Amino acid sequence: MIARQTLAIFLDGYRELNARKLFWIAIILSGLVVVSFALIGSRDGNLSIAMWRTPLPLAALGFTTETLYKLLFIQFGVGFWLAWVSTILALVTTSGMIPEFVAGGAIDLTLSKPIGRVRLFLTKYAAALLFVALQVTTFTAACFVVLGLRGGSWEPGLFLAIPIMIAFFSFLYCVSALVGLLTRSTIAALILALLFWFMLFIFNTADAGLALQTSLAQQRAHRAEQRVQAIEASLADRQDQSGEGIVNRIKSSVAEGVDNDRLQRAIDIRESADEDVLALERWHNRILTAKAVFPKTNETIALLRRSLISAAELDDIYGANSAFQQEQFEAHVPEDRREQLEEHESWADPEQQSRAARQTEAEFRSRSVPWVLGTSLGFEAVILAICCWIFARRDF
Amino acid sequence: MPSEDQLVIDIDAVSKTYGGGVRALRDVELRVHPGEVFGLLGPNGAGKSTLVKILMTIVRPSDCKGRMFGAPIGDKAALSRVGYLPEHLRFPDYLTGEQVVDHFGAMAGVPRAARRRRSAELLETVGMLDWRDTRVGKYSKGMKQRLGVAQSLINDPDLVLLDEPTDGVDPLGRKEIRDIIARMKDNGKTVFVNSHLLSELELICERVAIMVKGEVVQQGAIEDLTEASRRYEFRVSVGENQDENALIAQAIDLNDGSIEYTPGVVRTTVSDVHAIQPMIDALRARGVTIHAIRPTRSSLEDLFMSAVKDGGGNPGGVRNKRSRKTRKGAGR
Repeated sequence: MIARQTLAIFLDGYRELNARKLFWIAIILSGLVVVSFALIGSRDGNLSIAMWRTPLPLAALGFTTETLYKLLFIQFGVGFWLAWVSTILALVTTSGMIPEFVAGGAIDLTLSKPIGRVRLFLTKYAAALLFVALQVTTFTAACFVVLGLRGGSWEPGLFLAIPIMIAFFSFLYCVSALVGLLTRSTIAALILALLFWFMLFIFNTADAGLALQTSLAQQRAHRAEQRVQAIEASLADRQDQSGEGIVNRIKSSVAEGVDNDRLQRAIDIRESADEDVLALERWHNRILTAKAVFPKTNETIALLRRSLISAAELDDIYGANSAFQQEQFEAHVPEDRREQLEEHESWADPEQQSRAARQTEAEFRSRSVPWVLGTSLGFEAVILAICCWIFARRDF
Repeated sequence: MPSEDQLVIDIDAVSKTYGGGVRALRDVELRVHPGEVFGLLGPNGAGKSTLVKILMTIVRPSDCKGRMFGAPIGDKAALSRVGYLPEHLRFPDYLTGEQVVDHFGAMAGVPRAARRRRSAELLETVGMLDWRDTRVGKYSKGMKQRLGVAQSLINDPDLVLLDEPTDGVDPLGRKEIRDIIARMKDNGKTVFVNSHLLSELELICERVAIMVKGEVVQQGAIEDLTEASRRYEFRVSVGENQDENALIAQAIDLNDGSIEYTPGVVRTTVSDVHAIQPMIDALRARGVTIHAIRPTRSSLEDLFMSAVKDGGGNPGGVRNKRSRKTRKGAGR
């Protein structure tokens, strides 16, 4: 009986989605994304779109055709299309499912059947996740074929996107379900779920931004420290080498004055960078503490990248990218200007940026899967427990 | 009379107080026997739907001592033997008629093959077979009600609870629903009808309960409930030059509380046919011509109006507030 009822609820969920135009619009848009995905390729070592060869050298940027496709799938297909556009469409489509389910006249019949309320609610909730499950499965299967045919790599790991995206969506949808259950309003359920998502976005942006800025500040402090040591060594040498005679002493004194000024500036920069590091770390810890109880949406999506692109592969890409950017930097920024920029430490060159990005990536990768998924699923479990408690006790 | 173990619904005391202190039900006591058509009457707001919803686990009682099919009220497993048609029914607009019946059949645990077979039969029974592939969103209210009746029977239930089944249905449809209920009874099913349409209930119910302000004030067989209102009516006349009033007064004691006289008609609240024989003799002895003697009794509507008016005070009706022991002695 349990299997029959579960199947009936899922079938009903599918019929409900099937009746909504937005579901099919999302499927068609997914198809277009896959087509555009298939149009991108490699031609004579350069990136090509359809039959046109672009001047972007893939090899110089550290990409093979396979990694290019994988990164496109991760960054654009999942990171942008599924994690943003498709999720918004899914929230718009499914926000009404719980409010309509508990509406007067509609719920009575279902509750009168031999099925417990908690099981009924949880099955209905799972059925609402069908939208994402169907979208992601279709999209991933199509991308799998494209990657196999165009990229020459049949990568079953792509299908990890299905559980990851369902989990990601469920972190948001549980809030929509709770609000929908409490208010019986589709609009309220949608708006509050979007606001919750926005709040997570702010946390994630602050987390990533602070991690990057902390890394940059640490590099600045490190370089300032190196400069201080170099100037101090230079001053010590000068004192040792200062010869006899008034001219030499005057020359030495002038040079010493200049070095002292440089030393003071370098010390100031180092102290300022140290202070920045401390302040940034303090804020970053606060954000991480606040984030701890909420779903880790960014990290959840990033699990796919962690699974499909190894740290070494990513390092190669970062390295090649950085070298390419450095070449461009050196070709376009004169040497004296570069020294000036370096002196003031107010601007990070491509090498620094790349190092900071790698460090940030490493920090995100160091966050364990049990922590990422455990705390997120824990949050969802708490919200669902509240939903079940309300649903089980409510008079309809 | 069935034993307590055989009762389909056996409620000793059900109470419901909603948030804000609104008492919807107060110690409701109710019995429904197997194979009967039972009617629950009451004005709007009496608590009828709340009681039905408690039986169907849609509303949680504040206090409940009762059983359905021998299981405590609220037991989900017992619901697999029940079919239900709610008031203000609303089906998902995206489903067709056949899908509605199939879906709720599956939710009731009916195997797929049985659902397929029965859904066609039931849709035909309620006259909706031609509409089975049309989405419910295009149905009229009456059509939805018929579909509701069909889905309530998909699990071949032993008990069918119909909450305002003729609501929104045209007279022809009402007749059809009455016929369906009659067929259910013929098939041995117990039917519990909740309605405020007294004429409908009088036609189909054997036993009724009247609810007023959250309490069952009367319940029993319609025959028993109206027995106390049974009386005899004499249509009489006298000769052209005779004073009807004087002759009648000579024949019978008009001051007796059981006699009521209006020109041409004498009514007595005596319900025993033997007891009226002396009255017939007395009238005949005074030369009063008796055209007809007709036994009469209150209609369900009279009973209902009386119960609502005085909160249950019925001339001789079976009051609900009795001890368990006394009630056991009351026959159907």
